[in-house]
Amino acid sequence: MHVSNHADQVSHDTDLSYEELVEALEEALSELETGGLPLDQAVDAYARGSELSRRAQQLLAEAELRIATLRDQP
Amino acid sequence: MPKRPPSGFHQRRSVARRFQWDADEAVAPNAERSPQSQSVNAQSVDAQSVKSQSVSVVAKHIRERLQTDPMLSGIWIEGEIRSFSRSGAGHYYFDLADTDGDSALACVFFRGSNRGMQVRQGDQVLVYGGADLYLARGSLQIIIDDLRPIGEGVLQAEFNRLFRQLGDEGLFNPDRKRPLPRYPQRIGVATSEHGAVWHDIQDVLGRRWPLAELLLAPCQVQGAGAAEDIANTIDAFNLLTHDRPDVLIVGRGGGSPEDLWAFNEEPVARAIFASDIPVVSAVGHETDVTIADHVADLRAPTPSAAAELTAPDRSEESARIAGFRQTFSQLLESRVSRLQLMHASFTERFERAAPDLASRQMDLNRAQGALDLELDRQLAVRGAELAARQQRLQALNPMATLNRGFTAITDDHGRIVTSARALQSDQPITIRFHDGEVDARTTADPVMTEDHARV
Repeated sequence: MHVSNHADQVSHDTDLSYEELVEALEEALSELETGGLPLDQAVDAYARGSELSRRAQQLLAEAELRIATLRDQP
Repeated sequence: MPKRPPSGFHQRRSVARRFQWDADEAVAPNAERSPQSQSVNAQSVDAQSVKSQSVSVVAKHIRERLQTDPMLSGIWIEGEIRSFSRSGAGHYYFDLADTDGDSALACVFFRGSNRGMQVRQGDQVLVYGGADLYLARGSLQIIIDDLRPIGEGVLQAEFNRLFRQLGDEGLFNPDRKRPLPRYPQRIGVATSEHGAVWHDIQDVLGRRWPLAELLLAPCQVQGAGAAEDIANTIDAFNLLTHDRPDVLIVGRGGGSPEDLWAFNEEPVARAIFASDIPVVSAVGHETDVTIADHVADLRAPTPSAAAELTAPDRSEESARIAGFRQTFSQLLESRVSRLQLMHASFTERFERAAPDLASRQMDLNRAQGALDLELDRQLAVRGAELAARQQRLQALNPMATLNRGFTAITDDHGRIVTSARALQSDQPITIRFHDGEVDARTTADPVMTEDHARV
């Protein structure tokens, strides 16, 4: 149950910025690195990490530079 | 005689050939002074009817005059160095100007003469040289043979004054430098709309970090009022209530120190210091360091470098994410293989437990055997002892004595008579042989043997 909660959270929360994705990714990684997780939670962290990294890569690949001009100056 | 520029000298290369020209022959004194109105009024002038000269003839004449003029051919001049540049070949080009005047003279200081001497914009110097005409452009230049510094130039002095003042106030304090955001979402750029800086930044960020939004605030970056305009623009970014940038790039492309001067002025320094948003400065080329650069949170050597320092690189990030993914896989795999190892080790321990039982069985068997042996040995020993005792018993058996012909005598009470003294005459006794007994009667009193008689 704990497992699917996390996975759902990741797949539904599509508005994360690149920075937030990377932070979540680093968090999942450190969870997995500490090694104290039960196996099912470790598998969950792995699934979350895979999804986060896929989305981060997608952002990197699809981004296009937006340009605006500030005209109203005091 | 001033040296001429060597071949390869871009744009200013002169025709090296010396020209001998007699001024009096070619141009009549009257023609030199002929009024300008003559050509202005004429609709069309017939070249044959006017005594004209080619450009090169005139230019060479002027040059000849310059080179032979007693004052101009060798003279000390004092002034401030401006618009200094150094060619790839090591020649110096600059203007020598009066500090508080409008006049300036173009100067050339060839490598053979300058010998790599340190010369900077704003230096107050004394030069020795001669005037020459650069024929390809008809421009006058002073070819310098010697140069001696005579103290700070005015711009340099102003720079030093403000640098000291702001430094004392703590505007350059390294502790104040703020870290830039790791992943900027909006980058504000204060620079000229048409300059190379804006172009370079768009180019670099489009390639490296298109995840950000660029927000340009066009401003004047040189000339009168530039410093105030730059300062106002920095303030304007900070006053934004929404879509405020998380980092600013402030700068302009390369130019003369005068061109860059706005970035040495106090309003810009104050505005950068007051900015809540971290500021990256990008002014001129790598060798230009302005006061704005000292105040900024980070100084970029060039505008392109500013864009690179402000945002990460997309391909590097992509590789990092891929690395994360690989680490994830490795961590999970190592977790699984650790479990497998643990399982294997349990199995091994179970397997190791079985040979233990067998060896205990063997120990038991061995002990049993030893016990059996000991038992046998003890039985044998006891058997031997028994036989020996039987033999000794046999030896003590009175019957055996009877067998050898002795007899035992008992009295009428059945007691063994062991002494002659126990009997008297006519006493009933029983004589016992090994094979039977006979009742009898003594016929006399005992007669004691000699050794018992005295008792």
